[in-house]
Amino acid sequence: MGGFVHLRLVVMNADGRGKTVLPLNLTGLGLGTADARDAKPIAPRTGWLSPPDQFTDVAADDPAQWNVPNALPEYAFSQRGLGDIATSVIHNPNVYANPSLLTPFTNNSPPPGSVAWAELWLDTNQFTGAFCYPPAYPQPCDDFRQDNELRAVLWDTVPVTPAGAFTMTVPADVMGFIVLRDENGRLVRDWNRGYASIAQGSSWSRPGEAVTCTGCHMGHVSGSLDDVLELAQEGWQNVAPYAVASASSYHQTAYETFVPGQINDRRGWIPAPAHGPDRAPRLTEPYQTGYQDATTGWKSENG
Amino acid sequence: MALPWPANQRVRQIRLVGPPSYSSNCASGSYCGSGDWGGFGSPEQYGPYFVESATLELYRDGALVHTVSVGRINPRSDGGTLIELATSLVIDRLRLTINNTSGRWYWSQVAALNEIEVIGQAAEPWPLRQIWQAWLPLVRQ
Repeated sequence: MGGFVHLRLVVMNADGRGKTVLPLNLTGLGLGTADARDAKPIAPRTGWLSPPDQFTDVAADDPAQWNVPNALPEYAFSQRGLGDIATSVIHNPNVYANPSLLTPFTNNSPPPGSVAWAELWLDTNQFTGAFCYPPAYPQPCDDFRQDNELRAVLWDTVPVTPAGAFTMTVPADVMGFIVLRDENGRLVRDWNRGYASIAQGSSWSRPGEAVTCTGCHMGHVSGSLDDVLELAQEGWQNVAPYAVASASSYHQTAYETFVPGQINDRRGWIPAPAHGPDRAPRLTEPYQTGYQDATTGWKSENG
Repeated sequence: MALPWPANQRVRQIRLVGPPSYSSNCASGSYCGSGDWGGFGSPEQYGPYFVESATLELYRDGALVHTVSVGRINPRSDGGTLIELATSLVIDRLRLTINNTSGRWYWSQVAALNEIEVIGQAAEPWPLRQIWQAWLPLVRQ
């Protein structure tokens, strides 16, 4: 690949120890520079039992059978009324929870005490329809399904406790996302990543389930809460990111690696490996050399 | 170093993290120009360097609430240095004063702190954003 990041495939124990790099050499296939980006594990795991399968049935793919009530005008096509749809319960004990410093990512939640309300917006139509730009581009325009312009639909609004907890009954098997609002009903701001919503999910719960989600996870940038889960579920989190850091003196570099504001701000922070970077940065490269996403505002341990 | 919050926070523990030590990130055959990979020193010659003692002060409304004496601030690979309070305290400002260091960076005495974590929760609502209204003049076309 042409980037600075060269990915390797590593096997490890379930606890993360015993890392071993798997050799990968595709020179014989004319792919001498290929890396492990697209590798798929094919070796069976041993000494590990999968959780019992709790599969019950397949969620309906027919919009008329979705768990969306036809009492809402946007879902008039549904064959189910408000009393007919299957529901589940979603519980978040702490929307402010942040991963610890021992994991790569932090600062992914709104400031503590900022959230008063949680809204669930149903998003059943995010993949339906497409707009065909007239006149006749691109062809064949006639085969395009016209965008029905049906967007997210507000399902419910529930209060959030001072500790950041909320519970809501939601339609089962339905895509949606949650919007956090302050006591004036405005979008909660001032979190370092500045999302407008959290927990965008595709059918996160099956009928009758009670699902617990902690924090404001956003897929691969969320980090793990495992080592602070008990604290998080009690309403505790790292509040340092929401302070304004200052210092009497500091070392100034061209890329402001050591300014005081970095001491409590780990947006996109990616730990360098235990042995340090594989090589020194080249002068012609960005200053991150493989340990930093080049997106503005992302920092790495290497600066 | 100071961390003021715009709203009161109830805190129960603080973790201070120093720069990685030279020995923890320098293996044979890899780049190991310094204790933090080229950013802040050459400790193979002049280090390692540590904050050996510091004073942590917790304030609320300008009044000192609690003081903690802190020993050596360890790197993240050692879990940093964790300060657990006997009881949670409501504060709006944290101040760390470094009293003593060891080691040198480029012939100079330095005090380096990489990260800080404050485990807490809101003691009051976060201040709402100020909404400003701007009255713009009408301009006739």
